Amino acid sequence: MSAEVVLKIGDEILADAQAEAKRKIEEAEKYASELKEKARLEAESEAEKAKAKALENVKLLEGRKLSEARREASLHILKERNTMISSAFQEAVKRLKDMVNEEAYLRSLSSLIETSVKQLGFNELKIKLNAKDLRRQAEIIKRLKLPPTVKITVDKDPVSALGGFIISTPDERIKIDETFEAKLTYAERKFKKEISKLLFGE
Amino acid sequence: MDVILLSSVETIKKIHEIEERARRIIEEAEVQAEGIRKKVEAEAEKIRGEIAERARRESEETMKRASADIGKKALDVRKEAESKVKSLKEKASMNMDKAVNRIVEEVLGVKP
Repeated sequence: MSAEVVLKIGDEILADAQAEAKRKIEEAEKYASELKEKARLEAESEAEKAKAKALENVKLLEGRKLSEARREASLHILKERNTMISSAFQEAVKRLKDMVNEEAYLRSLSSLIETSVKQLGFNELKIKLNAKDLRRQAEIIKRLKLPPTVKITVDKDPVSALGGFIISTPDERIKIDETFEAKLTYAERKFKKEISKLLFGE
Repeated sequence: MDVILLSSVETIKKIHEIEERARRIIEEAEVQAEGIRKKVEAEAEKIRGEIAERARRESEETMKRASADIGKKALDVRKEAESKVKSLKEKASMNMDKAVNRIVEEVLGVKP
């Protein structure tokens, strides 16, 4: 074979080898480029998911914290309102303590006893007073305008109360508690809303 | 032009040499391609790590900003409540006498 032919064949073999080498390197570079792009896209997608999750967590946290803050604020306001309403009742107790020495109290006592007698509808009744009123029971009884058939007995044992009375049938099966304490307890339940309106102008 | 003729042995030897060179060219290319693949795997890992780290920092920053914002909003709620309590106290102070009179009236059954 001539050297020229061998050289030509050799050149072809080398050219093929170089082409194959180039193809392999290009393939590797293409793979590299695709892998990098794929990694970038996947990572970006994961990053977006993580950021969305963080935002979701922020919203949840905000909802929870603000709801907690609002609940605490409402409780604080409610507590303060109740404290102020209680102050009004405490102030009323002080005023009532002072009033038991006044004519207005005796007038009120007489009027309330007369009303209670009518409500009970019995001719014989027993009344309990506190120690101070027991001492002036004659004055209290004297003020009463009752039907002549009604007989009232004053219990000798004083009732523990700031003022007012307990009126009952002699056997105490039916009674009306008109002591200040009982009326205040009732008023606190029944008039809390009204007192709140009066205090806060709502 | 003179034609140089090669013997069969020489021809085979020459072609064998050329094939050997071609094989090395391909082998070198394969080594180079393998190098590229290995290198890119590390690079891809680095890209993933960098993006994940950036996302982590951004999320952390979002949480930090949000926490401050939430704290401020919660403080506003507390301030608003304090202001409401103050206003209620002022009103209660102004109207206390009216309320006490109403309670006393209820207890006594007559206007004090």
